[in-house]
Formats: sequence, C-alpha cells, structure tokens
Amino acid sequence: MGDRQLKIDAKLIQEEAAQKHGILLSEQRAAELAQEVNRLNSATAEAAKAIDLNDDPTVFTATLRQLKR
Amino acid sequence: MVDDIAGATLTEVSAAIQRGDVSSVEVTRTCLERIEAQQSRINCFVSVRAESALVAAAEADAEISRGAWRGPLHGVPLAHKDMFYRAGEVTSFGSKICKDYVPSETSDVMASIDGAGAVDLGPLHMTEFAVGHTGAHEHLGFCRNPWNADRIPGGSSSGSGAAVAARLIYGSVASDTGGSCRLPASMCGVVGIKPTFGLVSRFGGMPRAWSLDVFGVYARTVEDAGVLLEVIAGESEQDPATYGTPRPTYDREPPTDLAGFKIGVPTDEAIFRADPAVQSVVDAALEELRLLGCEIVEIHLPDIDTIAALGGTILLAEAATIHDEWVREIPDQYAEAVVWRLQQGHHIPATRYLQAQRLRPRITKEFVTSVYDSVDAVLTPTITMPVLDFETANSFNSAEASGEIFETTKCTVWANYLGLPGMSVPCGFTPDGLPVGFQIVARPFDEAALLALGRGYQSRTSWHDRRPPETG
Repeated sequence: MGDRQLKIDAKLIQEEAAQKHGILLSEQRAAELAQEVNRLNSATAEAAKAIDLNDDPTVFTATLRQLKR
Repeated sequence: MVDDIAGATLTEVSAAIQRGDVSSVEVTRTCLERIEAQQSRINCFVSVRAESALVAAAEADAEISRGAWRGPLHGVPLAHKDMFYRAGEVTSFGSKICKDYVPSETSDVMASIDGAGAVDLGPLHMTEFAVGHTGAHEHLGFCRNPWNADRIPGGSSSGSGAAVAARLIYGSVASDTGGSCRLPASMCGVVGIKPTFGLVSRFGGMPRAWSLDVFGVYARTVEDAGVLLEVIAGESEQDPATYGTPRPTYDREPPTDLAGFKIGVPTDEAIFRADPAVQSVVDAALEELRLLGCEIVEIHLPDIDTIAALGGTILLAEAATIHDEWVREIPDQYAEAVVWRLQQGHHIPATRYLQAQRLRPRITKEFVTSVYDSVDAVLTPTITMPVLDFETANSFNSAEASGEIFETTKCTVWANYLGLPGMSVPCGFTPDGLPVGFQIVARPFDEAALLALGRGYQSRTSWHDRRPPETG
C-alpha cells in the first residue's frame, strides 16, 4: 500500500511547483524531478519505519561527542 | 636554504621563513609569478591580490625579524575558496547573483588564518554556490586540472585542488558538503581533509546545507594539512556545533610503524569497487599500508545506500530553502544545471526532511559502534572513476545528471551524513597520467588517526612530490 501512496508523479510536481513555489516546469523537467524526488522520498520513508517516538534530531552533535574515543 | 621555493612544502617554507633563509616577500613573489604564468591555463583564481599580498608579506618579514613569529603559517602564501567572509571584502561564491556581495562580518576560519599571519593571494575558483563537481562554470570559465587541462579538477572546491597541485600556493581552506574537500584533492593529486562535523566553526562561510557543511583544508602533504587544520579548529561562540571542542594539536613526525592499526575495506562492491585503472592503484596503496604494519580486514558498512539517500534528502531540502527566493525570482541568474539541482528540494516534504534528521543520531551511533569498534579507519577509493575530460563530464543531460552526481559522490557523501572525518591522500596515477586518491574515514574527532595513517603512508611513498606539467 505504502509505495503507491508515496509516489509523486510528474503532474503533481508540476502543480506543486506552480502553486506552492510559483515556478512553471515543462512536463519533461517535472518528470526528471519526480524520478530523483521519488528515489529520495521512498528511501527516507522506508528508513523512517525504524524511528522511535524519542528520536530527537537535535542531539546529533552530542551523539558525535559521545562517540569520541 | 630553500633551493626550490615552489617545490617546498608548507612546513619547509615556513621553517625557512622563520630562520630567515628566505623572506616571505621572496616566497610571495615566486607564487605570484607562478600564478601569472599558470592562471590562463588552469583558471584557478577568481582574482589575484598581488599588491596587498606583498604588503602583508613585508609586514610578516618585519614581525619575524624582530622575534614576533606567530607560528607555522606566518608569512606563508595561501588562498581560499571564494566563500569565506572577510568584513568589507567582496565574496562572490562563484556566482553571478552575489558577484558584489560584501559581508559585514569575518568568518571564524579567515580570522584564524589571518591571525596566524598567512599571506592571502586572492579568492579561488569554485563551482556556482558550491553546486556541481566538475569545475565547469558558465560565469567564471572552466577551472582546469593542472595534470591535463582537458580534464576536470573536480568540485566544488575546484580552485583549491588545482592551485595547491600546481604549486601556486601552499594550502587552502575550503568546504565539504558531500565530498568537495576530497574529490578535487583526489583528482588533482593533493591532500584534502573533511573534519568531523563540529571541529571547525562554520560561522561566516557561505551555507550550502547547514546540517552537512564542514570547512576543511587542502595541502600537498598530510603534515601540512595537519598544520592548517590545527589553526582553524576549535570552539567558537559563533557556531554552537563546536561547543566543547578543544583546539587540537597533531603530531608532525611520521609514525615509525602502524602495527596494531586496523583498516577496514568495505565489501560493498556496488558502491566502492572502482574502475580497474583506479582500483589497482588503491590496492597498491593498501599493500604499502600493510607493509607499515597495518592490519587490513574486510568490513561491511551497514545501510550505506540508505545513508546516501538520507544525506541527499537533507542536502536538497536545505539548499532549496537557502536559495528559495532567488530560484523563484531570478532563476536566469543561475546556470541552468544549478537551478535545476536547487529546484529538486522544493518537492521534499518537511516530514521526509525531518525524518532524515531524526534518524541521523541513531544511525550514526549504530554505524560507529558497528564499524569503529572493530577497525580504526575505513579505506575506500575517494572516487571510483578515473578523472573525466570536460567533454564527457558536460555531456550528461538533465535526466542523467542525478545519476552522475551519485556516481561521483557515492564514496564520500556518507561521511557527511554521519559527521565523520575523512581525508583523501594521493596514491598514484592512472595510465593516462591523472591522479588517484584513497579516502580514509575515522570515528568522530579522530582526525589524529587519519593524520598518523597519512603521514606514515607518505613517509614510504613519493606520489605527493610529483609535480604536474606546466603546459598542456
């Protein structure tokens, strides 16, 4: 179910660019953007299944310091 | 005495200036003459500040002669990527949009470099807003590889790699968001260090993607790179990521052996297996390290594809945010390939961006525990492809560009998402005479391990002493 819902097609990219950002894209360009955006969004969504309620992005630099030898 | 000023390393020329064997003015004049001879061929400077450089060199000589030596950069000619602010001086980021941008503040890295008494020769070429990895440039003209002017120098810090390799300067400060300190270093045959996220203050430098940007160094030798890194590293009140970071001091002498040092070589062949012409050079470097006493073991890097995608998600979203107004209002002021790359981030949902950020501490902890509890460093090719010519590098159409960027940065970008320190070290040449570098990546804040490994390797090899031709 997830894959189908997560796919952004070229038409949506075109509409999003126009309506949210005021940018007019050709169909070809929108299709190219959709390809890369789908790759990243899908990989992130898949990885996000491992996220816990308490995963906090602001502790990244503290994590690096804790991992120092 | 220094018989060959241009051929000397930063450390050698610094010692000669301190002893009074050669003056900073003489060294600076030599660099300026070499720039004048080479600039039309490799185009690595945006502009050359000859007059102010000679004034600064004369001041350095005067200070040193009265016993006020400031340290190893005093009187040494350097130049830096055109993205670090100095109050009142134009900083243009390789762009048409900011060609007249005059910042009101000075970056921490330039304050440190200037405070150490270095002589600045002028801003260096970079790809537009640090987007791109070839050195091709619609506004500034192409920066070219000193080993062969038909080949790319890499990017985004194109000028830093080319100028250090061509012996026009002794070192350079640059930035690395996905490989920009390591890729041109590999392609130009010099050393490039991307430090741990939080070791060097980012205050006063052009942002490419706040979460991934780090400022690093270029030099001909690992020893020189360590000297530069010592000067720019440490805590700054102006960059919270550096809080609690002490100013490091690194050993200068090469280790006599590296017995007990364990190097992991990734088994993920789809990512790290290089073109045969590159792989054979990297394999020979591994053999040298084995002879130094290193233990070489195979290792699996967990989630490496996912890590690259999460880094890409953050990079595109942050870059689109930084450039949002200009991309909408004045897109024609960018090169087409640059504006197209920046537009991608408009279609990353905020939830995906934040998921990539939320996963970062967890994945970093799991990765470091899994990998660096069993090895001291990971070694890969810096880039798996031989150095491309401009015709090939510029032939990719917009549909192919993302795949080509992935191919170029797949060995480097994971270290940015994980915040780990990495270094590219020159280790030989492909049969067509273009440099190859290996990359080593260590655990957080273990730059000392990278430097020890690199100094040990360079004590046994002389690739870093090879000089590119001055014509052709």
